[in-house]
Amino acid sequence: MARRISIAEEELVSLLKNKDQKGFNVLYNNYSGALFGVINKIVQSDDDANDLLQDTFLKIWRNIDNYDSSKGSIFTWMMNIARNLSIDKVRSADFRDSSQTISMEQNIIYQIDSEHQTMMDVDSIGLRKVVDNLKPEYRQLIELVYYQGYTQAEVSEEYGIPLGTVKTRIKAAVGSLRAMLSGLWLIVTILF
Amino acid sequence: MNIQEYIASGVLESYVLGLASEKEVAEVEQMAIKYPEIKAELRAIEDALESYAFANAQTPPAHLQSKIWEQIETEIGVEGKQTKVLDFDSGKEIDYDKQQAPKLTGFYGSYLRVAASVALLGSLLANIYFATQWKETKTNLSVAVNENIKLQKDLKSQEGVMQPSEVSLIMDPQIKMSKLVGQKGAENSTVMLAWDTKTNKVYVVRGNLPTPPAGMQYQLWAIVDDKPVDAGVFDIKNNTQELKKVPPAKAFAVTLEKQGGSPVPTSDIMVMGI
Repeated sequence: MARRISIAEEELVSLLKNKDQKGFNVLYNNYSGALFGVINKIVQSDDDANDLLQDTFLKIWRNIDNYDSSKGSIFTWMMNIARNLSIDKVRSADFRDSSQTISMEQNIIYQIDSEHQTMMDVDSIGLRKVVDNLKPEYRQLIELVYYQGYTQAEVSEEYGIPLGTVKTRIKAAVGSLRAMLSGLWLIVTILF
Repeated sequence: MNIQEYIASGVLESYVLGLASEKEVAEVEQMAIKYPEIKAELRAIEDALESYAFANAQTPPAHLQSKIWEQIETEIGVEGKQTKVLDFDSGKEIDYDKQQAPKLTGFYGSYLRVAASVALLGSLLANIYFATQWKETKTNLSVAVNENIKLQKDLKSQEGVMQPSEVSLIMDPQIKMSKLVGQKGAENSTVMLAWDTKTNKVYVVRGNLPTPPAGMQYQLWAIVDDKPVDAGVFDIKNNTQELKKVPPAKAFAVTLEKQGGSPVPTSDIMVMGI
């Protein structure tokens, strides 16, 4: 599932390559929530998140011609742009110096606590319920590597887990997510 | 290399999560081109993580969309002109695309579509209900109008019918009834009088006379001692009119006089009786 976009990906990419506002609006309406969620989790600051969302869209716009659909989906590509910009920001000197800096541990606790999801995208409520059922350790692992840009080696070192186990767990976590989402897809299909 | 083993190794997840080494990345990309199963597996992993990102989506502040677009326009430049349309609400020119509502898809979109369908059905039922009510009201109104017309007709026809007060006047033993009949030139005219023998009051109960010309009125005369005594003027209408007090008269007569009456009769007698 997860193809929640209203137009085909190929169509979106060609719209973006045309560099017109329609393409931008489709892109923004479909992906800004997911990208903003990622950015917000990493930087934990409204002002920085707003700036980073802008930087992300500017970078997408500048680099759309470099996107190669054979190497992955448009979302994975955009997500990596958002994530890398946000991680760079968090690791930058001026961000570390600011009072808004939160340690990685605090960050994770914050992320796991779903009560903090104040600006919940309405489109994601159904999905959210499914994802909430993910085992905490799987969830934490996905948060670390997907959102925080931790390498497997860093996770292994930080949590004292053998590297091989980290890889296996990541695979299991993604597998668990896939299983749940296919179940959700079934329910949604039956209901509507 | 065994494809299933390769999938099971977890390298595809690493690739999608951006954790793979340069060597691994090149390898995965080669494998994906070569084996459709690996491409499909990569896609499934991407979808799962995309769903995870959507599950954690947060709505950015509303003003950001236009702000970012302005930034794109100024920094990068946009090829082609945007279609501008006039916005009815603000009266300002806006970009055509901005007036399009974002498309709702996925779970919530389906939910909204169902909700919209239910709302539409409700609206249709309400339409039927109110249309029926309206029809009923219309029927009720026409019934009421017809009843009103009938009542007005009845009221008109009632004018020829004696009222209870008139009946009791006629039936009163001290009242003397007198019928005046048409004279030459007014043979079809009649006037019914009532004279109270105790109070000497005289009443015109009914007058069947031609409508008088403008400025003229019928005047009743009591013939007392062979002389006409003014008994008052009256109108041609079908109800009892009280006139003047007159002494016991030998006869009564009606003439056509100027409005308000005349001290002496100046025209021919229309009706006369004892």
